[in-house]
Amino acid sequence: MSHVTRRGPVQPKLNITPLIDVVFLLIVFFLLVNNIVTDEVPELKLPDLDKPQTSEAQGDSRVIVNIVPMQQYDGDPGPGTPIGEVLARGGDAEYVSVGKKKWKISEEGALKEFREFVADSIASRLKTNPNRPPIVMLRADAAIYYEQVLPILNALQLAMVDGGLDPKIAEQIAVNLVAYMPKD
Amino acid sequence: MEKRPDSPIDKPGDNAGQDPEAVVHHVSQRKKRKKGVGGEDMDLNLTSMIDVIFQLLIYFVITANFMIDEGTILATLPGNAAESAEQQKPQTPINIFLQTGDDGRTYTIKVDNVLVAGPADLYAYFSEQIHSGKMAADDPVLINPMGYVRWQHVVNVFNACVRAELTEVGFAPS
Repeated sequence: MSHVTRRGPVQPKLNITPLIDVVFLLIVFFLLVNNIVTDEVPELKLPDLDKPQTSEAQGDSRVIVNIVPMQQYDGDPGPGTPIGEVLARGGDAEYVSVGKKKWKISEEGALKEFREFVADSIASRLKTNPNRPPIVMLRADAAIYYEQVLPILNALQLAMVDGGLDPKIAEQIAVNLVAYMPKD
Repeated sequence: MEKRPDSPIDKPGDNAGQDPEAVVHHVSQRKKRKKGVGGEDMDLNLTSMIDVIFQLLIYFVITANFMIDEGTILATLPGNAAESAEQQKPQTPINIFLQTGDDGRTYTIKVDNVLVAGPADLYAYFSEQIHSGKMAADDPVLINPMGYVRWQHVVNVFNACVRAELTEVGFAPS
């Protein structure tokens, strides 16, 4: 309803400028976050476990190691996918990655470079915060052969010692295996 | 009161001989806007843009899941479990052998020489062993998979051991 004044009816107007400002900020936020998440953590089909004992990883300083297969899963790689479909793919790994850095597993010296990178990463984090060692998380695709994961586990162990973690403390030299959380 | 002839209010001689309609008085822009005289207000139609922006916003909100469905299980790296456990307890660890089938999808689990049907049975086996006192929860256990066993199965077996509350579970070095 328009009010009538001495100058005639007033057309009501909605000032939507702040609304557009906020919506644009939200879109920029989601765009950036989406890019960061996909760069740091590639989409993998993680192990889908019987009665998983997984819990949320504690600690904000994390080194996330991804092992990406040659044959990526076609479709949404979420939990609940039939295991037959998951394992129908080949089990060879293509590359191992930490953040944006990737090392092709087939290339000579890749694992050595990977080990040095992880060691440096752990060392720099320990330098800034000596009381809180970073946690190392291993995200490997469910289809990958164990023989492809084992050299990376060994390299991680050596990297942790090289990076300055005390090898005598078993908890600090452990790795967090990433799998899906319980459904409930 | 008599008006002065040169009063600014009324100057009878000013427009003498001129058409009164032809006289153009200067009107300021402010007055024009106030009176609604002159140019019209320009409006930008933002409706379609807002529609698109909201569509984008809804898309990003729905697709951003921030990996909330991922969790972790703490595992000791190859070599460490066996070494640290053997230092404390000089005993041979229980070996879990994983072998893959010909199709690369199925696998078998053997606890030393006992064949176990799957992770659920492995959990039941260890639970029974612990409750009957045949083994302790901190006895060292080594998972020893063949090279072509999938990571899915290895982690599933590891998960079953953790579920049975075994504390010294590790992976056998190659």
